[in-house]
Amino acid sequence: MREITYLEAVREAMTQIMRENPDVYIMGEDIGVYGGAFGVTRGMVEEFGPERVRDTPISEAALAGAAVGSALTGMRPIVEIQFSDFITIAADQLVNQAAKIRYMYGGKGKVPMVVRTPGGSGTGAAAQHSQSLEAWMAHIPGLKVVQPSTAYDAKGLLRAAVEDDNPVIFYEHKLLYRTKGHVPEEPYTIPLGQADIKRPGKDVTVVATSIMVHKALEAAKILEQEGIDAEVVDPRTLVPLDEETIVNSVKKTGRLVVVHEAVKRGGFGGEIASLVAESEAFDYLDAPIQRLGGLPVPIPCNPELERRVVPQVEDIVAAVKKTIVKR
Amino acid sequence: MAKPVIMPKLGMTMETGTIIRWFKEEGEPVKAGEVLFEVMTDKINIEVESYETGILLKRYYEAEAVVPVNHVIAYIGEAGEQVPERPPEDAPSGEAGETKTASLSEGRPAEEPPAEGTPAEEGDSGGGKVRATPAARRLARERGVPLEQIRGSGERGRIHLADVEAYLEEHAVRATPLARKAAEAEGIDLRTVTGSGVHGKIMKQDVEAARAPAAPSAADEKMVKLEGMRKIIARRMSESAFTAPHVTLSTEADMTRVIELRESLLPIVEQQTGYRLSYTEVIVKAAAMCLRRHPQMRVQLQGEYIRYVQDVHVGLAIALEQGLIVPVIRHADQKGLAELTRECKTLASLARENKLTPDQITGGTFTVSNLGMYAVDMFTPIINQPESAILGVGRIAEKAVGLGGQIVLRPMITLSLSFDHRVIDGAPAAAFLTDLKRMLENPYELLI
Amino acid sequence: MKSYDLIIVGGGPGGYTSALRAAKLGLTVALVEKDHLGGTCLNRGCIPSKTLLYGARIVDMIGKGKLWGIEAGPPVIRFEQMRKRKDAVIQRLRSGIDMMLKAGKVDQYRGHGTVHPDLTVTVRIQGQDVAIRGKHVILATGSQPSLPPVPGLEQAEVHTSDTIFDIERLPESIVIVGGGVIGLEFADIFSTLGASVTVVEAVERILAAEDADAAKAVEKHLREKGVKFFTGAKVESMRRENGHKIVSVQTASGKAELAAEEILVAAGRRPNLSGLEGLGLRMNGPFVAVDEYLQTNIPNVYAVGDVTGGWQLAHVATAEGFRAVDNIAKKKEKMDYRVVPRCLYTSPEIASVGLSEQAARERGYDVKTATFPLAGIGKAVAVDEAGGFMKLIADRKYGEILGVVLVGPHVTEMIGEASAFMVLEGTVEEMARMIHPHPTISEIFFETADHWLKS
Repeated sequence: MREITYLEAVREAMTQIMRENPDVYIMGEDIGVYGGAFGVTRGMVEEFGPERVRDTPISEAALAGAAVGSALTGMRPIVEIQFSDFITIAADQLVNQAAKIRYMYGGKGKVPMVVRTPGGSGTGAAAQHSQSLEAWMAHIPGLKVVQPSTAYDAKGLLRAAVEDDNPVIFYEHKLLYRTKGHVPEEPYTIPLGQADIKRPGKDVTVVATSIMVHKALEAAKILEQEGIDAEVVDPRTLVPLDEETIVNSVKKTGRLVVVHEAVKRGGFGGEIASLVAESEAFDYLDAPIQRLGGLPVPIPCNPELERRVVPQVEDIVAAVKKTIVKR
Repeated sequence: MAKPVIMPKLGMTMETGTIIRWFKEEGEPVKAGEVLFEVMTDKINIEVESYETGILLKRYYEAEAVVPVNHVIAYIGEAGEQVPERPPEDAPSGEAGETKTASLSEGRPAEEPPAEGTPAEEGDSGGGKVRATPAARRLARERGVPLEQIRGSGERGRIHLADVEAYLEEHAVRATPLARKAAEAEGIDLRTVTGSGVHGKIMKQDVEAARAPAAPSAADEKMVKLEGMRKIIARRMSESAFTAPHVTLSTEADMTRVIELRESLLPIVEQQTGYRLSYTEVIVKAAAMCLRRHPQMRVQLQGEYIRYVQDVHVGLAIALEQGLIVPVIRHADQKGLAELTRECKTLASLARENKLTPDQITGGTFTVSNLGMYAVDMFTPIINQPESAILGVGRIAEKAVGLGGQIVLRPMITLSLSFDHRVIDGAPAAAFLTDLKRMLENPYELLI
Repeated sequence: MKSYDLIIVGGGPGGYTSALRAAKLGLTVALVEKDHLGGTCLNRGCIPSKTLLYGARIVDMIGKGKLWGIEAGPPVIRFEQMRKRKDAVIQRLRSGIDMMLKAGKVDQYRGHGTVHPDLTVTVRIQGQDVAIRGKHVILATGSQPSLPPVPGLEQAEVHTSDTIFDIERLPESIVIVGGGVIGLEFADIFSTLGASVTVVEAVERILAAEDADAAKAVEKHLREKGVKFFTGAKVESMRRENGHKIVSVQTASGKAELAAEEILVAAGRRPNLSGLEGLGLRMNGPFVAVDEYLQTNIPNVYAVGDVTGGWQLAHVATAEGFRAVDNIAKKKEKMDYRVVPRCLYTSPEIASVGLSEQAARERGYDVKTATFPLAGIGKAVAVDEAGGFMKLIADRKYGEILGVVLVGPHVTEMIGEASAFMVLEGTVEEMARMIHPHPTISEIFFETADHWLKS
């Protein structure tokens, strides 16, 4: 199986589905000839033409609104929001329209759109271009939220997102674009709402999203040296969340560490920790649940500080160790 | 605001405490740190300090009251503050106050007070809150392990799963299938049985050994019917002990002079009677003479009347293999030591041969019971009915006594006088005993 | 004079095993043996008899072969070869013991030992006296066959188990005086090998010490082989006549004169006390008296095995030896005889452990017995040995297993299961529940246990 980058996998997913289904088209800022701010859509306008690979003005509201309208009238748009921070501007269209229309119209009409957007820090893009705001979207009934961590997951999940009749927010990570993985050439789907155990283990469950999956795996390697066998669970989809996999994992290990890049306060980690505490896994917990997330500060510009405000491998190692009590 | 005073939980299993006494009255000022009341648990008495300064506004329970732990027993506050008439039902939450005690004689740490509003744990922690993870609790619950007995190795003493597992391993009851069946049938808790098998495995014989001796087991015990002399002694002792209120006085007498006396008279008595004079005879003589002087000791309760007995017949308790018997020396006060010796020895001999006649064992005024041949000092003899007093004689032992400001070693004997308080009071009994002691310390008086 | 922590007199199963154990516990040990290592068991008892009995079993198997369609003519028995094999086995085991003793650093004194009250032992080695001193002594001198005071016995030149294993040729006929375990094993060997065998027993039944039903089963088999039995028979005299040896017996039904080529007397054993006379040992009848800790009346002198009477079994001697060594070197504990298995290697075999039904009743147990026939066990039928049974004697109260009797093929190897249950205090329920492999004779355990529970 060949290796391609996460970015290429996203492109391939879109390309393959657009070849099959003429109703699928993509909209976004600079996605045409420019190939997208990060290069995801490079070469696509050449294949599909400007009607199906549409550059838009700098207005996320218009972008999102147009997508809602076209989705309602039968298209299946994929919208690229250049930096996930800008979702704020698209939010009214997404939250008050896309998420609510199907419900408010009693099922008449649906909004099968996908919003693809890169989040996360580490590129020095500073406060307004480095946030992780998936928790906001996860909070809205009517929106699905996906957060793939690998090239393989990205391709399969994007296809599923496009095929889904609901609005799906698809969070990519800037630093993951260049990561490589084995990706099958043929089209395939990974169903939404299915977590993936990236590393099985028996001593502690580490639930991690996006780039934290990779940090958790590195941490697991370090912990292995000390005889601690960590299980790394990647939810892949935040809404709908695969609770069963997470709960079963915690039942098995008795210990839980949740880690995401987003600010800890109000982050999705709180949702995961709470639902575990409410679940049957509670009776199997042998240590308080540990949550890791970003500090409640805007992402700094200085690279050293930028590194410091989000969880790193050593933080995950330390958190795991906190859950283990030596007699 | 008035602060409650709580019955402290002074030990893991303590459920109630008995108030022994208060050190402060209602209305009295109390300072934090002062001893406020004394509590008794089933094992120890403890003085409890006050944690508040103020006036003891109300005491809800007085001495002898049995109060459940963590219940409010008093309030301390400012003069005039209102406090409930009756103690609140449950221990108030939040500011319930510490349950630590100051002068714990056993030094066991107190439990933490229950947190606000949380109900007590079912089963596992009886009253205090124990820190334990859910996993640890689950296992403890499943296996009936009391969390209070486990030492937690987590933060702040939190009990983790491994701690419960370790406890279970330590206390694992290993028993053979047969032993388990036997224990179940006998209702014996295997945890209380010590195993004699490999690695402490409990075998059937261990369970049988732990069994409360209900019926005598075939091999070891013998069963002898209560009959004959034993039965009579049992009956008479019970009757005496349960009808006559016994009070026993004791004193020590310096036997130096009696020892001298005996030494000098020994060859003479032996020559006269063929028997050796012993201290028993001297004591019998002295007792008899004191009895002569203390008619109040020669009383017998007969129905509604008190009979004042004239004669001094002294019985001497003789130990036999099958029990004991008390032959009586008639008119002991009128007999010299030689005659007493002869009579005592012959009676003793007849007693051992079971040849005493009924006449010889009735009619006594007083009894002397000598255990001085054993390492016995003071004891509480049971009165030989229908008499009203009995003298118990202990051993002669060299003791340090104060004499003229010095400590000297003297051969002391302990005399224990039991009397029937229905007909004899303490003072006359004490007078008699004092006289007897004096007579033994100055045996020339025997001549008077 | 060389000093030892422990001197053991007698190198049989009671002696050499204790010597090895004591050495392992760090004591300095001397072993005194006047004859061959291994004692009666190895040289004149267990080993040679079981070796020959196996030969008898092979003869039986060859005979049975035609049931399986395997035809072999009547076997040719080369007795001399049998004897040679027996000797080779004995020799091999003897040198094995010797090697173990050397490896265990046990000093051997090969000669007749006399034990003195001051715990010195004088050993006569090749005409010289060597004296050694011990802090402790274990007497393991064993026993020898006893000859009853029968007139003419000496002239008849009777054999005992001490001599019978070395006979030159198989006798055509033999009279065995003594219907106990030793006598019957020989009856089995000789009758199977083709001799005409007559067994004379003084009490009313053979194998009086064994379960009655078990004894009957063995008797039946031996009768089928042509063995004749005279029970309740008193031996009056013996003589030689016309190249034959004659035994005169008196039975209830009258006198009988039994003539045979050889006579084997297996009528009991007496303790070997030679060399112990000077100790002033307290005796228990003819045997050396010991307390529950295996101590004799002399401080630091212990006695184990046949010389003390008791079970007269090699494994008991070994167990006693171990207990005595532990009492000397470690913690003093009483000897535990509750689980002593005993085996008879006739065909069918008998193996039993624990109390008999009667003994259990006498001890006050509420006894229930269940018997299950081997005829119900598939493997037994498959190998055509279905004539045996298992008897389970247990207390009704908890299902406590008190005794087990097994009759059948391989039961001497199987009795260990019963012993294990008793030692570990497993009850009848566990025995019924335990999974036994199928098809095996051992299934008789759970079948009998189940039967016990249901009856």
